[in-house]
Amino acid sequence: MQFKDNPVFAMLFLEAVAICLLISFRFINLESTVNLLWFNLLFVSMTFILKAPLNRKLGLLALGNVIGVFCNFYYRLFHSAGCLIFGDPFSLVYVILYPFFNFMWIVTFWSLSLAALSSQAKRRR
Amino acid sequence: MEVKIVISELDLNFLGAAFVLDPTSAVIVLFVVGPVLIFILFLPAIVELKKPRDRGPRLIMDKIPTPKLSFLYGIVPLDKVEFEWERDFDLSLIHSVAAIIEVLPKFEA
Amino acid sequence: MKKLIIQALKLMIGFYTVVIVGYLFRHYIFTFTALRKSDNSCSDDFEDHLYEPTVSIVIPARNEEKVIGQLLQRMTELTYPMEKLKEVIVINDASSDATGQIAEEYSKHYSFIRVIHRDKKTGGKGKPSAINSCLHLLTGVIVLFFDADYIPQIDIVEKLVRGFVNPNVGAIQGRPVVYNEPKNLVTKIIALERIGGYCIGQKARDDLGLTPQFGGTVGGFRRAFLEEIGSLDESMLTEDTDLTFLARLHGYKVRYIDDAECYEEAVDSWSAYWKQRHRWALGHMQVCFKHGWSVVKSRKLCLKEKIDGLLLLHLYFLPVATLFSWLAGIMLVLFEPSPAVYTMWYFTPMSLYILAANSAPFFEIGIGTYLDERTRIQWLIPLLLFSYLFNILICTKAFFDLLFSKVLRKQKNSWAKTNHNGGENRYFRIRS
Repeated sequence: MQFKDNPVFAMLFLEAVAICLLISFRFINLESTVNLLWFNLLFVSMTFILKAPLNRKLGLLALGNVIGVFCNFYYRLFHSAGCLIFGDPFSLVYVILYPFFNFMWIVTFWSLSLAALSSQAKRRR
Repeated sequence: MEVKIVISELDLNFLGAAFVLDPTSAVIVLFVVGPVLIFILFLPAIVELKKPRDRGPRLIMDKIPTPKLSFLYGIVPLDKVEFEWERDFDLSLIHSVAAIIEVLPKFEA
Repeated sequence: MKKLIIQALKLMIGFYTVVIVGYLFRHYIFTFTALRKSDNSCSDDFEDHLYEPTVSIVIPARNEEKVIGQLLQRMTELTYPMEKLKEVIVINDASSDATGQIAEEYSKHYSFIRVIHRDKKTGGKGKPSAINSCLHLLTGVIVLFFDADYIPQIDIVEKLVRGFVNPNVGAIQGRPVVYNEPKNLVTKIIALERIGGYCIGQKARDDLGLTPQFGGTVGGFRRAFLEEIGSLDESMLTEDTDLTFLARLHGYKVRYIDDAECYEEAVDSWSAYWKQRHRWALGHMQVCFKHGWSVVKSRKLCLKEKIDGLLLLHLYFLPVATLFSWLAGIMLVLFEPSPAVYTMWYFTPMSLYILAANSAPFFEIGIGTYLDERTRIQWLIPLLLFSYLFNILICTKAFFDLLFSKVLRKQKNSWAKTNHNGGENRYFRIRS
């Protein structure tokens, strides 16, 4: 079976998403898990109805979750580093900037995914 | 005092683990990795701006060929404008030729 | 006192969060609707109707010598039956360049093209004033409007007027396509805004039975409606929005026709962008004050139309509300941090991308580009963050300008002129 039809890949991608959610919850914080859930909701609702192989969409979803985990991990490090250098008040700067950072990676990744799916759809036509 | 307590709560994650960094790593994370990450997030946009590969706006113009007049921007009297087609182009000539061409397949048969 | 201020800030940010989530939901529905309907051909309900009423075309122009020629050339190439195209009226509104001469040259050779010249005393008072000067000359059943920098398809008249086959339809809007998109970042961002706004927003509003907005060009009205209102309100900076709501409040429907397309020249500098958007914001806010309560009270609008109409009217207030809410949110996070405040604060920056491009969310723009079969322009979507921050400044200034003008009762209307170059065109051939 080809990649696009293979249910094994679909399961792998879904497992990757689940693992990312667990990692974010266990090793980062609850907010990062909420962010990933929000990303998943947005991605599934806005991208899964487009015409493209399901495995490709699941692959992009899994990749997005991985990138999300890395980004949130970095933001957590950013917070710790900032508090170390600037002291405890840096936490407030972090709280204020955190939502902006999260939307940046969500929008960038979603836009690139859409471009990839558009190219694929155009090639099929 | 009240603010400090709240900040301390923020500093710990849900299960109590904390990220501990040495000062050098902290500086690298804050002043190197951060800007690089932001640059990476905007990199696709920068690439597309510098070397655009998008095909541009959709083509919406006519597929039907029409006589096109050459026109110079600015004040140019139409008498001096160059025409690709005769302005009094005689469509009846086209109909006559078409009628002749229409007959030809019958000879072939 | 401090508690009162904090409560007020919480109320403000809470209300703003509700509004933002409301807009997010609205645009989500629009995007979903447009995606769902994209499988069907557009304008199916217009397909079988051959409807050829008499048409008048109005072209208001002020200092448009670089572009008026190409539009008038297209007027001579229209495929609409000439006996039904009553007149093309060019309003040369106190131009100081060769706009009038170019129009007169065409008028000499084509009898259906007429030119009205307005001098510096009577003219130069804005587009609504210019249009009012020719209303008594219109004889067509349908009146279409084109701005001077637009280049329509040659069969655009047929495509637009078929929307009027339903006698309840009073206004029609077509789709502009930015032809100078590749020029620079400004034109690309505007192109993204247009794609999201028209391909998704306008289309979905039409599909859902709401009110698409007449954009001032590439569209038109029934002459009967224009006679009902008498004349355009010359105090309005955005007569298009004013006319949209007037049409609806008079019981006419507004339709959007996706395949009636027309090239337009977008502004190509940030200063020109500022001027244009400032006028749009100010004009839109004026219309909101003028028609807001009428929309609520109107018996001709159903509930969903009233809700959508109010959301549309308040669109340009949102960036202003965003700025104040961010300031309120930061103060709350600093002085009264709590889980509720953090939750509300989480939604506040969402406005960055929900209202990114002329109040279209990033996913609306992205799906619009997908439906437009574009494959790379999506890479530019993250840059809409910066245009939105710019729009926050523009709308805030417009808001304060409107407040001061109302307080001081000073308003002087004139053309808020966008300069057009007529260049950067490689999508159709006019030899130069």
